[in-house]
Amino acid sequence: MNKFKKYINNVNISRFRFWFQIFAFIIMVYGGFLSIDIGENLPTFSCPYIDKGGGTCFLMGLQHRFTLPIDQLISFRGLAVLTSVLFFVSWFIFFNKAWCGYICPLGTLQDWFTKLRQKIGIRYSNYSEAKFKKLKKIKYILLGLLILIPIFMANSIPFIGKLSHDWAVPFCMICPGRTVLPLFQGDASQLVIDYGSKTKMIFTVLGMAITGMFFAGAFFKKRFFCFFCPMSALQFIFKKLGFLRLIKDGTKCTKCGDCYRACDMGIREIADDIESKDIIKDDCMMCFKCVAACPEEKCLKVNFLGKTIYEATEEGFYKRQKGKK
Amino acid sequence: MEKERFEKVRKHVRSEAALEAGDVLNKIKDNFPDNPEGMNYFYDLLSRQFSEGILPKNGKKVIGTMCVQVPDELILAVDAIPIRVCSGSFPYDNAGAEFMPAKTCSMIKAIMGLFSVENYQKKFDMLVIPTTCDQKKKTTEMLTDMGYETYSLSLPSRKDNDNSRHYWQNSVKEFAADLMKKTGKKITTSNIKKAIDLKNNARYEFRRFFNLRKKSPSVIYGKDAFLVANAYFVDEVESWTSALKNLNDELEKRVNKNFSIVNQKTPRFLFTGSPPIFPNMKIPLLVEEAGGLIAVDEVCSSSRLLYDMPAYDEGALYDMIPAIADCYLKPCTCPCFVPNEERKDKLANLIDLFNIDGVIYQSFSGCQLYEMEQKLIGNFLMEKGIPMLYIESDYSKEDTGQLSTRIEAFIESIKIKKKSDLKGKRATK
Amino acid sequence: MKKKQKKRIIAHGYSRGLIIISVIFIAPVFAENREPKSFHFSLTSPAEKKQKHESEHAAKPVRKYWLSTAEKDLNLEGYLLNPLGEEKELKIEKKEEGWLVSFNTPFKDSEDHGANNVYVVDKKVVDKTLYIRTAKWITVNHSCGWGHGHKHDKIRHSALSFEKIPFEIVPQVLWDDKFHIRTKTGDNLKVFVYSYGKPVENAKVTVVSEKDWQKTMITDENGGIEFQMIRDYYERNWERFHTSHRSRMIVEAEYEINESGNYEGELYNKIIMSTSMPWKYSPALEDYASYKSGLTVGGIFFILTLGGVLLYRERRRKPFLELDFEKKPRKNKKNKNE
Repeated sequence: MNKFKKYINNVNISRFRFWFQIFAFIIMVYGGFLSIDIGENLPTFSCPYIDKGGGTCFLMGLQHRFTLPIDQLISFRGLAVLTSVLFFVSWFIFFNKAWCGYICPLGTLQDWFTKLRQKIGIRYSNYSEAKFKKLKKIKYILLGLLILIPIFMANSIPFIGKLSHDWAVPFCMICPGRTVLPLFQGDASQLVIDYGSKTKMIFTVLGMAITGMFFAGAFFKKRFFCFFCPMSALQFIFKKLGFLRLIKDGTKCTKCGDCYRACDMGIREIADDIESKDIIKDDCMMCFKCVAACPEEKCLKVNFLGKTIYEATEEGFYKRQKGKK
Repeated sequence: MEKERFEKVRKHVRSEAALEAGDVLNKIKDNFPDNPEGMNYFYDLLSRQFSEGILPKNGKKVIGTMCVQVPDELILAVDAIPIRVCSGSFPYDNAGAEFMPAKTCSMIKAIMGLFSVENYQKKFDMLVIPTTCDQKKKTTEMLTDMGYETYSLSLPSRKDNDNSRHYWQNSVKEFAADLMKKTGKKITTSNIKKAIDLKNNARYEFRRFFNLRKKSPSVIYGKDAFLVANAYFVDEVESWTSALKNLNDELEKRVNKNFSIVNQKTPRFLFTGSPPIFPNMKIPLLVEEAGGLIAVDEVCSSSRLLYDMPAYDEGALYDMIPAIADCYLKPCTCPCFVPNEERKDKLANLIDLFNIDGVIYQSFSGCQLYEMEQKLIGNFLMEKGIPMLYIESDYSKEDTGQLSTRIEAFIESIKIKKKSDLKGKRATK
Repeated sequence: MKKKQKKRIIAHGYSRGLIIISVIFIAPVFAENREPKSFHFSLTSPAEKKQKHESEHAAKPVRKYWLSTAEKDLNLEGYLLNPLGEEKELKIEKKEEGWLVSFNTPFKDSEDHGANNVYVVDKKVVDKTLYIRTAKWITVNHSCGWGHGHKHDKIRHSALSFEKIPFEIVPQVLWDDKFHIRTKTGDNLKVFVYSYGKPVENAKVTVVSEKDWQKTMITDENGGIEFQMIRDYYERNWERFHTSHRSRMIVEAEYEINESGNYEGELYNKIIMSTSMPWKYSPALEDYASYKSGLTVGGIFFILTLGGVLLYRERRRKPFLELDFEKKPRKNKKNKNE
């Protein structure tokens, strides 16, 4: 048992993650061909615009469900919204935010861009901390809008009236998942500008602009889009329920910053916060690169239902660093 | 005429220094039982340092460094030899005192003495001095004035924000660029990777050594531990690593055989403050001769020297050099940083890990930073209920008698406390 | 041909002008021809002129369909086939406005979730000819709220035929596996004609678009025909153009069998079978969307971001640029380490 534990702790988590992500990508993007349908309300970007995908993103359903008059929303039909959230949460708690780091196909795609950049040998970009703090808020704004806009499609706003049907699924319209992921099934139909109406045109132009920025941004900045992802914000609300945890023992921390350096999302708290035990922040995608990069024995730990499944060890750190190409 | 006089002084100081080193080394070797076989390498190395000089003779470029913050991976990457020139020698300290202000710290005086007495201008291709404390900073200028090639490595005073981190990274990058220019060798991904691995091997062995010292009762004296780290100052990394590996293997055997050099009742101390550098082993020797044991230390000439390891994410220069930079700044607990809360956290952690009974805080007279921080650390330890002995001293032997009385009294009080603690423990059991 | 078209126009009641014309000719038409006209289902009663379309996204507890004919003496048998191929009960009512069929589709993900086939059959002997008229309506009972869990359930998302129905049109999938209807102009559609569950060769199939463009084809040995939906929705004004505009098309089939027999005491020597299936179609994506502009916008922003990052990096390589007030900065040596 001890030997097994040692083996796990010496594992190169990045390599494991690379293969796991490929596996998850195939399920999420090509699942339909393999007759796999994991389900709806998934806490990850398993985009419903992919014709034969392996599941459905929760945000799509959420936006649909909120297209209800207020009086209905607080009656029995609101219950449907509630149950869907319940389903979402029950999916979510298993992997916690590892849905982002290990399963999300859009995240995986960005990681591939990063790999490509590394191969070419071009330097990555970093946000300065002040800029970063501002950018972080965008995801909460997006989350608010993607609930408010559908509500205002069914309820009129003073002086403006109801929003037209063209405002449907506003977040999906600007999400690069919609435009990019169907390409993997050879479906380029989402790359168009829709001149059907002004609203649609603006949304599709916005969507394509973001897609363009996504390609360039993800190439330079690791996990470029994830900073703006409302799913990440939504998940963060329920992080306390997760079975999978990232635990930090602050007394063992030397603040060496190795974990901060490894972090694709640039979360400084992972290195500098020695008070919190549950160290998951809203941007965290639980890739556990920080655990792999921690040279202090048992300082960072991955727990599942209170049981440690992976932890930082001196030996593991040394082996991983030595094994780097 | 002048030249002759100079030569005479040099010869005199050199022989005095060699004498002092031999003296201390004999004390270290003979006054203690059960020295590990593996220590012989380090004893020999340090005695050679003073009889034959510290400079390698293989024609490689030599770069002198001061302070732990100099990233010597970069120096190793350009195929030069880093030598830490911080000195603990009293004769050189005396030589430096002739032209340095009276209230200068002994180490600075010894360094200045060393470089003024010895003609090292041609032998060191560069002296790298980080902007740590004020005295080190000014040393840079004085050494330049003496005709030495110096490089002032700009270190921020704060390390708790991201700006200073980037500032330091840039300053290390500039240093790397300068190194390449001076040595005419390029830093490439492969040679820096080699250098990182080389130093990481040393660090890994050093961590093993560090962990073996956790054993209570101890398998090795603190004075030996200081020497091991001191030897790293001047030794080549590879041979040092393999020698430490031998020592570690020997100590591991001791642990397995349950052999220890002291008994359960020996008080275990944590040594912190100004760095004891061979041959200035005054305080550690006094403590251990009086029946204490320095279980662990938190000084930049020993445990802090090789503890922190860099972790780079992408195997390219744009990530590797900042990664190296980070590991020298963020975890460093040098008192030249404000705030320096990390030092308290580190001490607390060490006290827990090493089962510490008391703390010995040394400060060189003239070393303002350690002197001032003593108050903060003292208050912190008082809150934790750990007794601390504060010792202000320098390289001279004048205060030995007075110090040994204080140290003996401190150890006695801790012994009594430990006895009652043990009794109490037994009673509760 | 012209005459026949007129008849159809009356039957569908589309164009007010033509109705007036036909009223003028009403006497000769009836005198000449007693043959029953084919009928179809509609969401509106024959009296109403307005067109309505069913949405597959909005579930309804009760579904009601009117028969397009104003005839009072029909002998209707109703059938309902649920998505699993099971027969269910269909209620037929005779109202003042016409014939109304209805059935319940409770608001939940149940066996009704998917394509339900609604049929009525009328048999009548006129002039020694047995007329078997059927009408079919496919309603896709779906709400995204119930989920798309039947994605891989083949029977759920295929169009079924019913062996009790003498004559019917079975489309080859008009919706996707999530039950979303996607019939667009320009699509190649395929329909089959079945009689009691078996394909019918040489049946005459007519497709009529919203603006009455029509095409008649003869089925092959599998009972199938294929045709391309033509576009007949044009808006001069961009503002008024709706991408979700739904036009109605009706697929009709007719087949003659020379067979003698006896239907409820009346002799006949010929059978004429007719059936109908209304459907809907919307403008194709190509009519209102452009890849070119999409890729242009995407490309511009890609290049802008890329250029922005590279420019920013280039500028960072030239330190102390701001110190040069008057002169243009000399080219600085690039810091190789950067």
